[in-house]
Amino acid sequence: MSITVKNVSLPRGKSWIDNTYVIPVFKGLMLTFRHLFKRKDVLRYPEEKKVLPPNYRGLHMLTRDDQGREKCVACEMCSTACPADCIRIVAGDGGWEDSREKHPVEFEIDELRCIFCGMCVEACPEDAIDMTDMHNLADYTREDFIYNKERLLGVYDEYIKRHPDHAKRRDGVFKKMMNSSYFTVSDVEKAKHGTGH
Amino acid sequence: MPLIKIDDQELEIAKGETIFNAAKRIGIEIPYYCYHPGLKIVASCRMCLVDMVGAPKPVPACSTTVMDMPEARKVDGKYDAVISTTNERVLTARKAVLEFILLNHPIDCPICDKAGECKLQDYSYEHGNHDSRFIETKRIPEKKDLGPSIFLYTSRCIMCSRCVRFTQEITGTEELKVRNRGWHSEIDVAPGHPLDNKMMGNVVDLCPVGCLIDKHERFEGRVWNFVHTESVCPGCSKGCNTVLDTMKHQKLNLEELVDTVYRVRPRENMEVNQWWICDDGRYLLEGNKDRKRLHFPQIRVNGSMAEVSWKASLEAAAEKIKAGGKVVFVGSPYASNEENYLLGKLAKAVGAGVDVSKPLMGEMHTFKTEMNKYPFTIESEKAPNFRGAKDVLGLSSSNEEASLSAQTVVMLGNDHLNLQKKPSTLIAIASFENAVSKLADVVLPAAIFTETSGTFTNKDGRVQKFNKAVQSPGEAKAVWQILVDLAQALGQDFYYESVGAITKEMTEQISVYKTVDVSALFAETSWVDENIIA
Ligand code: SF4
Ligand code: SF4
Ligand code: SF4
Ligand code: SF4
Ligand code: FES
Repeated sequence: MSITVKNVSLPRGKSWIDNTYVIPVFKGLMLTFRHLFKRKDVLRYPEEKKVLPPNYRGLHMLTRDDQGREKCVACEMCSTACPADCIRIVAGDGGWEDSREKHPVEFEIDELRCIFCGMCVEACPEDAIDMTDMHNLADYTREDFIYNKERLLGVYDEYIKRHPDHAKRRDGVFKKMMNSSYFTVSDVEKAKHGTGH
Repeated sequence: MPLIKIDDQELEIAKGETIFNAAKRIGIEIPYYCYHPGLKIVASCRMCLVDMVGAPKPVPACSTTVMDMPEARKVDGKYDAVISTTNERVLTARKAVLEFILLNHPIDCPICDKAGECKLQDYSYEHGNHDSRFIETKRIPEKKDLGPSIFLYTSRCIMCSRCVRFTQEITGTEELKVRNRGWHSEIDVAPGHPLDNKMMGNVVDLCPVGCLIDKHERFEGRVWNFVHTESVCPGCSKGCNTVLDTMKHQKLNLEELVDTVYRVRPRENMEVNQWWICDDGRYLLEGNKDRKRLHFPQIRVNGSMAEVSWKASLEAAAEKIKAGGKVVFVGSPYASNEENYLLGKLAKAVGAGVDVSKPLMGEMHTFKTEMNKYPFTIESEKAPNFRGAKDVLGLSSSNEEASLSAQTVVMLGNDHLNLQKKPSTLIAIASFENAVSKLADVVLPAAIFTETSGTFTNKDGRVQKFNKAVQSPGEAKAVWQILVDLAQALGQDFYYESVGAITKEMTEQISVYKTVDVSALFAETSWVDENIIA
């Protein structure tokens, strides 16, 4: 293939005044100035924060039951469902007498490897893992992003302080589900009252 | 022979053959709970109902046989029975049976160790109703501690009675019973007579649901994470076929894989162990947990042991072997044929004598009942490969005492050898700290049977292969690798690509093993599966 050369010249204004760029610069500044009086389309983060929808998929938490124990029963549904393979659970034996025999002794989520897909939340049969609206995670080392059980329970404690109506917010989500065409009413009822026969 | 038709397939069925077995033979699966090939047929669960032309209601396939019909009563003029396993009637029956079974079932799959290999889960998913119509309160019977290793989660029981029949027909110990009747029936033991026999672990495999749970394995892992490897039990000279279920634990931060054998299950072999294994074999690896594994090569320096590199330890061993005096290489009834063969070959190459150490002798135990077609015997020789070791080393018996008086002794692992007097030089290839390794001058850390492959020859001369399931800890190596390295340190030209190459050479060299089919032994034997035998 032959090589062709095309000469390109800079686009020039019509008159020499344009070519001094003085007037175009002022035109530009005018545009900027006009925007000062217009409606603002951005949030002034971090002073202003967006209220995120209740089904926002942020940092995980491990929820507690009414006695303050983690709800999780270490069934490993979440880690099995997780496409990023970032949940690690070691089940422990709570004792033969305990009504909650099986529980996690170790529960870790690598929040850096996580893709925040929410599959773990969907897979959980106990409503034990949930996602919060916290998304501004920052830390110094990679290891610090591996949240262990205590930290994940801590996230819940903190979250519940800000959203004491957490359960109700979930209800809100269910209402939305009910209005969407993806779920049937009985799906939602079941989800509310725990699955199963 | 009666001619029958199952769904669309025609087949001849032997007298006394059940519809269930006939269907299985042509690849038609009929769901079942109470049927087990090793136990008597009770036809109590009704999961296997099939529809038979002319029968007033569905019949249980597991107990129904077909006989020759008179010409006038043949269906379509030629069939003695026409059976459907998929028509509307059958599907409805399955749904109904599952609904009944699930009435009182707690459905606590999240905390049930059977989840993933549970027949109730599988069949409910495939054949059941997805909603329950039961609005009354469920009956929740107490869970029970049945004995030293079994828990009974009573509420999960589906009353198939497999476990009861096992203790009646196979072990003859009769610990398990059905207590009460109907709605209230539950499995139980008599007060003061716990489920405690040497084969009790089998009831856990037998239970189609998660009702009987092994205390050793409770909550340790989820079955769908397992990798299964075919193995052979090293517990005694019977050589039961087993499956090792292993699991890799991933530490999130370290990307480090630690794999462990999570449980040992029997693998069906009608010639050896049928469907069972004994508890000595099942919990053999549990016992190893408390013992000290040797992770690094050691040599004795000024009376105390020091950890050194492989190179240094092998050189030290070679030097000691070359030092002169009478040298004896002692094989082991606990090591594979390949390892013993290689040891013998090396001994011959360096002009040393060979011997084999004695296996631990224990009690022989036979489970015999009138109903048991294949009485199960736990052999008294508590080593997997005494016969094989003698075969490949060309010995007729062990001459332990005499060989231990030699100047230099190279000893393959034997944890039961009670060494009183140390030979002047002792080189131990061992996995665990034992009497021999404590006295040795050079210790070479070796893999155990789960960490390498090879073959064992059982008491009947059956050569069976076991496979590598997990990695060795620390720097421990497979014995055959150690022997190859040692041979090279001794200036011998030994080289094998894999265990298979040794097996091949061995079968060519050892006359009694000429007939062993090596390619069959080394077929693919590790898998991840969906269907686990029940
Ligand atoms: S959100 Fe998705 S990627 Fe993250 S832990 Fe849950 S399942 Fe895994
Ligand atoms: S799915 Fe829920 S209950 Fe199961 S291990 Fe995960 S968080 Fe725990
Ligand atoms: S405990 Fe298991 S094997 Fe025994 S009757 Fe119940 S379901 Fe069947
Ligand atoms: S009978 Fe022997 S080979 Fe079989 S499981 Fe028991 S110890 Fe192992
Ligand atoms: S398997 Fe036939 S009735 Fe149980």
